[in-house]
Amino acid sequence: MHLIIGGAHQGKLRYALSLGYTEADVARSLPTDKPILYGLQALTREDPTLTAAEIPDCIVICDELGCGVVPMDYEDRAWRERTGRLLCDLAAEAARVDRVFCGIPMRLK
Amino acid sequence: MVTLVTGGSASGKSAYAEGLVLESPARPRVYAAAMEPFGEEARRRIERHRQLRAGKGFETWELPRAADYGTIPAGCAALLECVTTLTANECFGPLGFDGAEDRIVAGVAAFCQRAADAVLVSGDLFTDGMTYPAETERYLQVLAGVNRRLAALADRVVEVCCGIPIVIKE
Repeated sequence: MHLIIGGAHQGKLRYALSLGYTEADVARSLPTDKPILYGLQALTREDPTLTAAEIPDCIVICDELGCGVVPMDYEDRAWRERTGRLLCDLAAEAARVDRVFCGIPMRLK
Repeated sequence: MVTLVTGGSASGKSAYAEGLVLESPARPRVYAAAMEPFGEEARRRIERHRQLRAGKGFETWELPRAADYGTIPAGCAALLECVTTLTANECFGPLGFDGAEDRIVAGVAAFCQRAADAVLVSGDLFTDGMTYPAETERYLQVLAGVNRRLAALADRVVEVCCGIPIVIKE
């Protein structure tokens, strides 16, 4: 797996596409056999039970959610928490992890 | 050696920080818990962290107030979990916002002096682009000041991102 994370609108998808893919290669829901899965944070929002085992081995793109004030709303807190834990699980197994900041990918693993 | 470990929520920073303490030869291993167990969610968080630590030989010290941080045993390996909670306790507790930054830094500095190896866990709460009510903004300002000063006194600063350490200062 190649995991690409970063804040919203930082150029994560653009970076993934620059690796030789087109919009037609991008999935936004599960299950999928496309090479790119985009917007994992939307999927963890909808499905609180989503685990690493259900994510295919492909380029996975997810927003980082954890760098703010603890949300007032319980569901917002739980979503942020489970997304962060899932990213830790995926990153542990991934062959490569990049964080994109201002359009610039930084390799973490 | 003093290490400041920071990162977002659920970024894996606690597990990483604990690993650093386990690498230290110093004893005892002291876990300084800033969180007070108010409410079901806090209890669950505390329980999750307890299970992470189980069997690793930590003594748990409940230290919700900065003034008590100098009381840990001399020469220990100490983990402070976490500066964000300690800061909230001070700002929203009986002593309030005035002087909170100085109180926290003084307490944590005393903690670092007592310990042979200290690992301080803090958090990045500053990167969501939101504007909060004045009291919350004031808290963020105090926490950011504390983080800057602790980073200055630390030998090492590490940001953890989905479980992966990124060295900021060494």
